[in-house]
Amino acid sequence: MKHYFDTDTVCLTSHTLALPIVEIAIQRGVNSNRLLKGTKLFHEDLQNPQKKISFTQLNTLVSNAVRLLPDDGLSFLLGQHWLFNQTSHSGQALLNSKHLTQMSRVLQIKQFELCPFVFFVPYRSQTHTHYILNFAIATPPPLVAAFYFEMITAQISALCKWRFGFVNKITIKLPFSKPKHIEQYYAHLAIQYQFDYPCFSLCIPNELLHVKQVSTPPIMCHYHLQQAHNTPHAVGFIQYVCDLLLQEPKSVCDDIAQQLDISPATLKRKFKQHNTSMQTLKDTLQKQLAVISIGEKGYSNEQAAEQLNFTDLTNFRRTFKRWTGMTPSQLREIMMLKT
Amino acid sequence: MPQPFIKLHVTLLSTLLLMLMLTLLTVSQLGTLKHLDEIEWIDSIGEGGIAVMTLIWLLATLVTRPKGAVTNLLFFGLSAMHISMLLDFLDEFFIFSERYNWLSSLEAFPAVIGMILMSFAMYYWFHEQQVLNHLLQKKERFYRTHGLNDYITGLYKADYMKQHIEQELALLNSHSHGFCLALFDIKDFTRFNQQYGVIQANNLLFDIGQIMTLNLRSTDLACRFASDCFIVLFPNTSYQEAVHVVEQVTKMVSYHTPYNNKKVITGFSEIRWHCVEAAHTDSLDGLLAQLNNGLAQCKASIA
Repeated sequence: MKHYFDTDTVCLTSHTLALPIVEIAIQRGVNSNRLLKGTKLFHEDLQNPQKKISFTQLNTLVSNAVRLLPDDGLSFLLGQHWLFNQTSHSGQALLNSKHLTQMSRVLQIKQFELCPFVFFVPYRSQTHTHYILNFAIATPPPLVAAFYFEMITAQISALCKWRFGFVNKITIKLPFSKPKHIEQYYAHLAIQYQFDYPCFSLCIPNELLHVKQVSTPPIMCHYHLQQAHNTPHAVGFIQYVCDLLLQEPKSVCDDIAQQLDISPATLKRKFKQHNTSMQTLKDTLQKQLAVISIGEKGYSNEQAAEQLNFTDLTNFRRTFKRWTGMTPSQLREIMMLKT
Repeated sequence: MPQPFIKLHVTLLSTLLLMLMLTLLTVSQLGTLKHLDEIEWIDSIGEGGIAVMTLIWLLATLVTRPKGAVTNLLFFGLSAMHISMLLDFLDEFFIFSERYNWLSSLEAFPAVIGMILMSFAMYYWFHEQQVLNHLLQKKERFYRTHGLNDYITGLYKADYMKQHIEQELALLNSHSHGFCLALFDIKDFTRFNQQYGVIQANNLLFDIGQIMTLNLRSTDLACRFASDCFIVLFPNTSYQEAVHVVEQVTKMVSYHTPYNNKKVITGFSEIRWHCVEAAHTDSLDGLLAQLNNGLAQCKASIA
């Protein structure tokens, strides 16, 4: 059985994100004490390669950075920095993967080292594969969430540009409106991007998933994965619950509490601590399935309602509107306009 | 922060300390302490407050300013004012005999001298500011907003440019003053960044920002857009005129040779650009998108 960890568990390495944030901000004239305020961390601590921090501490740091350096493109720089400084075996396995499909597998196996705070669920339509990304540990505040989304977008853009070269066929859909600092998107991203989508999604044409990297000997990925065989494998709290919900969509609080071996009251407290709830997670997963079915696969309302076990069409339309802020037909219109 | 400022102004700070000690010594030697009942507490709190505030101003001046004549004048002016305030404050606690009564009559004089010195300081400060303004000519227009400054290049950020584009768009609609915009990016900047590191890359951004501003006309405005992109506003300029300036800028930047410890850094070659002329129908977002698309096409065609 997999392990899970909480938002306050001190288990994330500091030199992958926290230290680069601090160093990039210092180069921009920000005082490190102001940046680390409220995190209970010191700049010297972070330089220790063994130093671990919690997701809550990372969120506080990001929130300070966003406040002190507004619209400065820090998220994009951080994403590029992450990509070009992958020294671990897991990172090398990722970079030396044969093609995008293998990359996604490496990401799943080595998630704890490579991207502990998000997980993805792939949905395949006729032409594209849609990877929907959700936060794995806890739901961060909106500004911090947008920062992570921008960082991941920059990582994907730089990765595709560096290792493949078919950047303009890949689209990222972002769950927020066009920001004020759109120039940072212009300058940093080579892939396509859209705003105001109901979830954070990466769309890749199916035929590109198996296009091979030109300069990678196939043995390298295997070698690095072997070297990295004993890295820890644990997932964040939200991801753990979502995995259970994806297996058993009808689970209720008591079932989940039993699976986690805690009391329902403790589970409720945990949900609150991670800034979410059972209903939110269930809604999120169902919403994403509905959005993909209607927006990407061209399902009719009847088909989508049936897939999600809604007996009543009006009820489905109303629920869809509550989830996404638009009706199914409005989503179809928007998708038509954007393509 | 405190370390360099103490080191930088060590002479001035010791002078201040000496003057304060001298004042305290004179007053305590020549006067006698008042009885507790005779002290007017509210008055002394007010006067004490003024003394403390002038001392804070004095220290703030030293923290923020480099060495030089203006700093010295400000320092002696503020010190003199502070001593006046201090004498006034101590007056509340000490009583002077007939012989030394001159001390309380003289307490206002240092302040007057201080204010005269400060006036000179302000005059020279104005000159100093004019020199700085001249340096900033192509980096700023009409107003100064230090919050929007980009730390790495010393230019203003995209937000400052956006405000100016909106003003120009309003002008275009009311007075038909046409204007042009150009977007520049550095070729292979990502590779340069990876090869030589962030510090060299930041230095390159700074250098290119400087070269660009040197080669613009005094009415133009250059800002850092994002990452390795710069944006220039050409007010009241036709497309042909703007392109002429842009080509000159591109040529000058391509002559630039970056150095690292006396060694030439290779890998930097040129900048690419796209220029657009604003039309009556344009919006800020539309113009920026046009520039971005044009530059992307330019990159694609060269690659």
